[in-house]
Amino acid sequence: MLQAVDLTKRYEDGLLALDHLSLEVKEGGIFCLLGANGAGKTTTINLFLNFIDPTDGTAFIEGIDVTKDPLEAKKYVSYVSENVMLYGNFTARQNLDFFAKLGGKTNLTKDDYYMHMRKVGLQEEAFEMRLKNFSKGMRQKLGITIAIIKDAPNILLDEPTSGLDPKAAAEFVKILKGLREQGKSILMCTHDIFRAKDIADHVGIMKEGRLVMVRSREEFLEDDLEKIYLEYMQEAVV
Amino acid sequence: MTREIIIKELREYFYSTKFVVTFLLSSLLLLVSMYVGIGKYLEEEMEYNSAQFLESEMIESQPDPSSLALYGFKVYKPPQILSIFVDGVKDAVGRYAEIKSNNDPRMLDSTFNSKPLRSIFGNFDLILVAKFLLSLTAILFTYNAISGEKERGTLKAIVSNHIPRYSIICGKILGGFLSLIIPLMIPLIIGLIVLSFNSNTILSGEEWVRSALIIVAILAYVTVFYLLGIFISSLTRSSIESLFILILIWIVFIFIIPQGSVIVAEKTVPTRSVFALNSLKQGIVQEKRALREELMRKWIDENKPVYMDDLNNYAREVGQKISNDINTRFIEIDRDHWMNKRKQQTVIRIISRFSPSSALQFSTMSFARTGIVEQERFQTHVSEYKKNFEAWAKEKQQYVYSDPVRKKEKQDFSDMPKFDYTPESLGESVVRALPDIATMILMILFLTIGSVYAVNRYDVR
Repeated sequence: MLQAVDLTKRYEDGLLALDHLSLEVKEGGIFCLLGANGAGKTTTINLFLNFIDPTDGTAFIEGIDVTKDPLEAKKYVSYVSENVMLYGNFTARQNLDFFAKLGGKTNLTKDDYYMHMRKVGLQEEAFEMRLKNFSKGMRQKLGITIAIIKDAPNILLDEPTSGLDPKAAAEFVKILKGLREQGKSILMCTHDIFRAKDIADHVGIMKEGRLVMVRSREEFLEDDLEKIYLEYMQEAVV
Repeated sequence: MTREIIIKELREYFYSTKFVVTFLLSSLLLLVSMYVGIGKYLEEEMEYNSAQFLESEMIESQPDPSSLALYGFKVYKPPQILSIFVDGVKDAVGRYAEIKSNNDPRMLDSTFNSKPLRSIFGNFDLILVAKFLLSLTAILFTYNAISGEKERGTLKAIVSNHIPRYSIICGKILGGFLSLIIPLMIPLIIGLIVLSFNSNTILSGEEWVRSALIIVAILAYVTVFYLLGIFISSLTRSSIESLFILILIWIVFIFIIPQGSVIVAEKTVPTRSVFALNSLKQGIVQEKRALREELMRKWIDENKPVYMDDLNNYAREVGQKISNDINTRFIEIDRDHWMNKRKQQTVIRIISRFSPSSALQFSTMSFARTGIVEQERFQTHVSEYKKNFEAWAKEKQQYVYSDPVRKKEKQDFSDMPKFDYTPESLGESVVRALPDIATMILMILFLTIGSVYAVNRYDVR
């Protein structure tokens, strides 16, 4: 479970990037954070990963305070960034091997890696291909494979479908649905309202560091999510 | 976790072009420098043996000890086998000293003097390769160690796992260091094996220890630049910025501090040039000669009529006094000059020690016995020997001339004192190199701690 309680981040230059954000992603839930650039989505992810310290409030992963015990908290979370940039001179399997071991999975064999790559839809010929020859879609798939192999109960995704072609994005969403079925808690930052609508259990709209709206799946399916989003964005412009 | 990072670093470097290029380039230059060093040493050894032989023949051909003292003979500095690795200053200073009456036994005829082409670009030895190529290679290996991972986005991917940051930096330091050292050590070891199998370059046990110490100094030097790269990389947000700062520091360490220390030493402790020194001495001789003539004139005026025996006695007495005065003044001038040179060297050593390049140069010259101190030691030995020789020549001359028959015989010089030069002991060399090695070790410690601290605070976003 992922939980943010009054999470606040003010940078040294005075910019308030996150203003008392509170949210909760339960087991088997997908929470999509929508918002314009600079709304505070990535800051939220960075705070959950302890890349930065909060000015106020607390982020919890499986009930563990991320600031107090970041290493313990990170055992229970996987992360997929907007651009999965792994080691270009390594093959897909070598990258998997390295990150799997960092994630604590030390007993996996070559066949295990192959099996996981097959599951996310990577072609066989890509398994031993150097990553520098991968397309963005292939890299994102490998990024989610790393998250799957770590088998952490929580997954943080920062714009994972950005720049993917529709087919690749659809495949990616399918993988996420599979992960939800396994009971993973997923927090995804995205600009992609349609994908969010497709998979989210909860959608939150962020504006200027604040979580200005949260809707459950039942609520946003009834409403026009795109219209709501645009209304909030227009307010932001005004 | 650290192990995984080490393996990743090794794998990453082994797959990279820079590893291949480093391996080929360092193999080529290290082996060529050793090949050139061996060739030069064998040439010097041959020249030394020939010169020694010719000199002993020249000594044997002299009619008596006083002729030998008057015309003089040369004592040669034996070549140091470890100059194969470290040329030091040996080619810039003389190769022999002349033992001659009324003459300072100064070092004469440097290699650069007889082979000026070699002085154009300096000597090509292992230390030159280490100073320039290896330091630059170390920087090129590490300038993007942390900032590059950040730029690629891989640092975030690593840090998002439950791995302590000190494990990441320790793994990177150790893995990268192994990747750097392997391509450097392989050609060095090959060179040493070739050297050990060469029947013309047989190293004693002590010389093997000295060689090992030279390699330790080189490793310490490379480590300083390697860690400097990691440290700067963990303070900067982009690889280009890191590389730019590192190149600036490299220029300061390699050129500005060593050259600056020489300029500062020469400005703060001025010494006379050899020409000025000779002019000064010449002036003293002329002044004393004038005084002698004046004293003689005065004596003649005061002691008329002049008897030749009295005149000769007085002339001898004055001559002796004047000669003693001149010698005393010369000794004072030489001592002042020597002390100023010593002060200059101290200033240079103190200032330049802030540069690992100077620390490497001084320490390896100590281990190879090719530095300035070794030259001074040789000169001191020569001065001591000259005294012994003069005492022997005087005694032998009296012995030869005390018997008219003996005087006509061919002289036997077998009892002439042999010039025996004992180079600095290993203990002395180590003690002298210790501050330089300690400087590099302190830099290594500072940079390691600094890197760990900087990575702990590094903004991975």
